[in-house]
Amino acid sequence: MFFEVLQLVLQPHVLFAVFIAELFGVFIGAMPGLTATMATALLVPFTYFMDPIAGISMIIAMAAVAIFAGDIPAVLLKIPGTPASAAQTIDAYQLGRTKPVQTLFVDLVCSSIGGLIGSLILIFTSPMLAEFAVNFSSVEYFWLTLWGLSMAIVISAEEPIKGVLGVVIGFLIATIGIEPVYGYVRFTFGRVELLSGISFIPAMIGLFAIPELLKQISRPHERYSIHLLKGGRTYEMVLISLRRFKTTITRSALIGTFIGALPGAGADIAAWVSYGVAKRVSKKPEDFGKGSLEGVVSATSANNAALSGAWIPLLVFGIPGDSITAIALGALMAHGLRPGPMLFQRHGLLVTALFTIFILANLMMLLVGYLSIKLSSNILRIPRNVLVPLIAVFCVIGSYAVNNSLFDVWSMLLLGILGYFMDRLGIPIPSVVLAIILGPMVEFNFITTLMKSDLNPLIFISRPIGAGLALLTLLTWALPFIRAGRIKRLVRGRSQ
Amino acid sequence: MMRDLIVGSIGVVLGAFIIALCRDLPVFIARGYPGPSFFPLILASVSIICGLFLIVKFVRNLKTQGGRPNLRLDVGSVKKVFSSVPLRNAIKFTVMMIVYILLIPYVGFFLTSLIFMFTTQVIYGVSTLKALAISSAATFFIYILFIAILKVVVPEPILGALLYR
Repeated sequence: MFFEVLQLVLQPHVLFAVFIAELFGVFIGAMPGLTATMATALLVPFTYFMDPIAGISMIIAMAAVAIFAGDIPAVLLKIPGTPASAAQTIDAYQLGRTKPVQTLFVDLVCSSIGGLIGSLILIFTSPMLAEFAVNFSSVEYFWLTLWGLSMAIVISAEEPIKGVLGVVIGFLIATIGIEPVYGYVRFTFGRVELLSGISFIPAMIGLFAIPELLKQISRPHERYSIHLLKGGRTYEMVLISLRRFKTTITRSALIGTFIGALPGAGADIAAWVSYGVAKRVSKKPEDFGKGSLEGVVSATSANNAALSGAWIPLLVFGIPGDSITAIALGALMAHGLRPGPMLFQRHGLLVTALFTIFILANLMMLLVGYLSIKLSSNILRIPRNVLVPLIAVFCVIGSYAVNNSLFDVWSMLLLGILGYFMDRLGIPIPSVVLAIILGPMVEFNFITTLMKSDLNPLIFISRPIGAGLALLTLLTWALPFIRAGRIKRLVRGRSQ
Repeated sequence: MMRDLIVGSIGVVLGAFIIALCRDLPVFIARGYPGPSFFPLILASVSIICGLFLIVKFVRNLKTQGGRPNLRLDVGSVKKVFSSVPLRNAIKFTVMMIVYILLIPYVGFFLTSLIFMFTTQVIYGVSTLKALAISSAATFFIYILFIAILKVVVPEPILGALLYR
């Protein structure tokens, strides 16, 4: 098995695909405003034309490097390249003012170590969880998806009620076409193209890429001019930092993986939580926010570990952990692979190959990261008015290429415009996307469960795991209210 | 806070629209068997409830601030929003993308893409020569990637086919 996996992973075209994807990840991640999620959405049409190993490897590798590359403008410009770099931006910038190259190298190595720890946890825990998940019925899957969506809403939405509305919009988009239980045609308005529903990949590109492009083109002349200060003992600083912060790195990677594995919580939240914990247990908490290397190390280890963690619920239950894995789910399904416990039994070799890719991608990140640090000032100099039209053309061809249909291109643009306005109105786009992906699954499990029980809703809490997940979902919704009540009581107590 | 009113109204209208669309679909197939409009109707109800919640929140916020709901269309402020440079740029770019996609079946993918990239760059301040060089290089790269490597069949120009006939 081991040699078979190596044969699969070490194929020249897979290694080349990983390398190219990592270069693409550097480019997008280092550009402030362009996110790793958008890069994933743009990458998916390419993966469609490759074998599953090469295609999925590209997503894994690209996301890992994009999250690291987000730290480059944070160090050099005080602007996080991706939301996952926001937690450490101030510290990274303060350090970068005197030692930019050294800070970036410490960041790179810690990102890689964080990613490796996360990957090892993914490798060892997911097969065990998959064995456990084999016994899940439609009840458990219904609650699991609902819990995942609830987490996404409660954690990421500015206002939970707008998050719910986002989920409803996503579900409604997913109801277009042939319905999953009886095969009725719904909401197609007589268009044959809509029979199979809104195509997933154009929807992803539209919702994630177009709003970003419209935001970026609002400031077309924006460009950054920076010069990397050279000098200093880079490798020595890396080694000293690793020795000094080994506990912080390990702890942050564990926190990152755990948070990443929670449905809905992504690398950005992992970085913030880990940064907060590091500050609390640090011997020098006063340095945080003023150029603390410990702060940078903790956040950067956690955000890369979270990426691997997010694959745990995706591979085991078919529930994406964050928006990147939500898109990866679409890519897996495009290759005829349905994530869930059966994936481990039916495609064991492929799953093991993907695990190996996680290790490979995080190791290869050291090489690509090295190149990106050297080229960072050039990447950041590319102005928006050059970049945005090029990406727009890629959005068009990417949406078209999947089904060779211009209808998909129109869907992409329409959803993109919709996404732009939803973003402006505070409706979280990741919730919409998650609902589009999970919509058919939720509806199928909901309707079949009700059919089994002759419409008796008590069936949803009739099995212990299902009841546990239902309780978890309720708690997820109750938490913000409990927290708000506590704050109110505290404020009242202080005013008295 | 105005956003609450807008999002709330969208929620209510969307819910009502879905209910109207569900009229032709059965709610139940048989006793105990939910039909194809069962799930969308639940979604429509949630949408309306969320919408109403946001509208009520908007009104309550106005009351606590001592104001009165002013629902008159303020032409001045709408004009101000639409004449702001960022939104104008976004609208301009959207219109260009619409024209670009409309032209693809007539002019063909590659030529339209070249024109789109060139025009957009020039409009947003890139020098003509630089824009031409970048657009040409990008079109060539897309051709190599999608046609030579990925073997994607891109839209052929209808106008070209007419000329050859």
